[in-house]
Amino acid sequence: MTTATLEKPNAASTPANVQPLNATRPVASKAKTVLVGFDLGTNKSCVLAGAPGTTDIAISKVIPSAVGYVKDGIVDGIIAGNAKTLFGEEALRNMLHVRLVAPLASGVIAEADAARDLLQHVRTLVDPSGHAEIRAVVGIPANAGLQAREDIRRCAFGIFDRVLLIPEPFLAALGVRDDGRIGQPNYLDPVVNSLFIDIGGGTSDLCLVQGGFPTPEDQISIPFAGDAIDEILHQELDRTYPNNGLSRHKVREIKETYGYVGPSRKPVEVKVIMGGKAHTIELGDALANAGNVLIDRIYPSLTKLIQRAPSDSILALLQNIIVTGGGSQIRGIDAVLQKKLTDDGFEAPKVKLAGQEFKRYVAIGALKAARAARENQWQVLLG
Amino acid sequence: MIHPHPSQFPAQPITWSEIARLCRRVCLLRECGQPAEAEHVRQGALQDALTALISAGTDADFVAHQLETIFAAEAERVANAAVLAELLRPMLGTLATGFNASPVEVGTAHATSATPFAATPAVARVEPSRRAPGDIASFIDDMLAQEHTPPANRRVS
Repeated sequence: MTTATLEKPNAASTPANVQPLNATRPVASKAKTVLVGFDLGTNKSCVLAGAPGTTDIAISKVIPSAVGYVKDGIVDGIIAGNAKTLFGEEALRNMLHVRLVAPLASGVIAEADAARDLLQHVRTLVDPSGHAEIRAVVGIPANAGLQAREDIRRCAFGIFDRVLLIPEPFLAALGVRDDGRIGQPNYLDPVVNSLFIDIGGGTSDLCLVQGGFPTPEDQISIPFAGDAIDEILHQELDRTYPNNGLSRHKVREIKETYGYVGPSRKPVEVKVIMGGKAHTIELGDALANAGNVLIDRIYPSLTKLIQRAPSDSILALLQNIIVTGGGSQIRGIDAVLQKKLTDDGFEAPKVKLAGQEFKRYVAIGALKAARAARENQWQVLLG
Repeated sequence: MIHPHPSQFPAQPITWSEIARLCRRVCLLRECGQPAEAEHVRQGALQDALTALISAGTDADFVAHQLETIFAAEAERVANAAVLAELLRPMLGTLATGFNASPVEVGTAHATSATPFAATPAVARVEPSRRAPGDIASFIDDMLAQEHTPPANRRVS
């Protein structure tokens, strides 16, 4: 199925006895509009929703990007409400009883049916009545291709009434930006001159943001991020502790709790359950090896983008390098990147972490974009 | 002889070639970095034409499907033309500097034009523009304009 976007005909210009062109969800009959900022992540998604014309956030949820289809033969009452499909935390909690599907891989849709189910779940979250018009700004990886964009539109057809697809690092810049300080003399507005490094589960996206919407040349997307670190760590574990039996989910938990970059720190002792018995394993080298591969992958792209910036802007840019996304929680990532830049001769670089709201900045930026978008910028989905 | 007033002529039926022409116009305006004008045509003349088609009895779903197909074809045509213009621009510029206008004599049967050969106007490059920090809608305009500009015309930063 091909998709296209077309502005819906103005209700006033459509004769009353004529069906609108895409009549799946007639806009005129909807009582209210809900604006959605949606960070559709490989491992975690974040949804913010609110009404137009306000700054209130009615819905704010971080949902693991997981869909669980309940297996046949599960006894009634095992699954709450005897639901057939579970989402997010509930799917993960019941992973023994469901077929767990990850709708996304490397930041783009990999399982279309599961992605559609997840989007429908999101729609139900933000509009339980099912009667509102939903306008969603959806974050996409930097330089996402036409196919990736079309896949999102296809999954969103019939679920969201209007969409806008915007690259995630730019949305992160909007989200990190303190709107109350725009224009203040001492405020380093991230939208005016910054370099964002958004490290997610599937991709690490770097983006120059310098007062205008970034061009494709201002953005680099690296298909190496949290999931890849999990894979390396898992291989290290299997090599050091054969037959450990640890799941990928458990390895990710270890990474999120103990992960770091830089010189190896030992000992890093982690208590795990293997075969029902508690073991304490030492993971200092394994964690360092896995994390430092990320640095090796990101750093060349970081310097490439710095050198693409106009020369007069670089000194200020070097003061505003911001790491966000789940990867910003890797201990030492800001210090290691800053030291590498300093050692390579860059003038007084400053690498900062976005902050505690790292899970929400893309969605915050997306909701800001939804509130600011003009009527003719929204894209209506045609089947 | 009585010449009928223009208003007495029956309205010309909307044809698919007219729809295609309007779609091409929208694509061309986007290509030239004029998204606002493109939307004006899209929501104005094109929408009126589509409404007229449906009012005349053409199935709405069929119209939507045809529109999608036509837009895709016209977008590709305009994009190809833009690339060709970009390729030809340097050559046409060279021709323009070497062309000598012929003198015009009044009353000459085979007068030649004195107008020097004009190079084809370059396709507008999409440049991200600096603007008021809070203007998110203008950022979105830039993004949408970039989406409709072939890679050859985008700024290499």
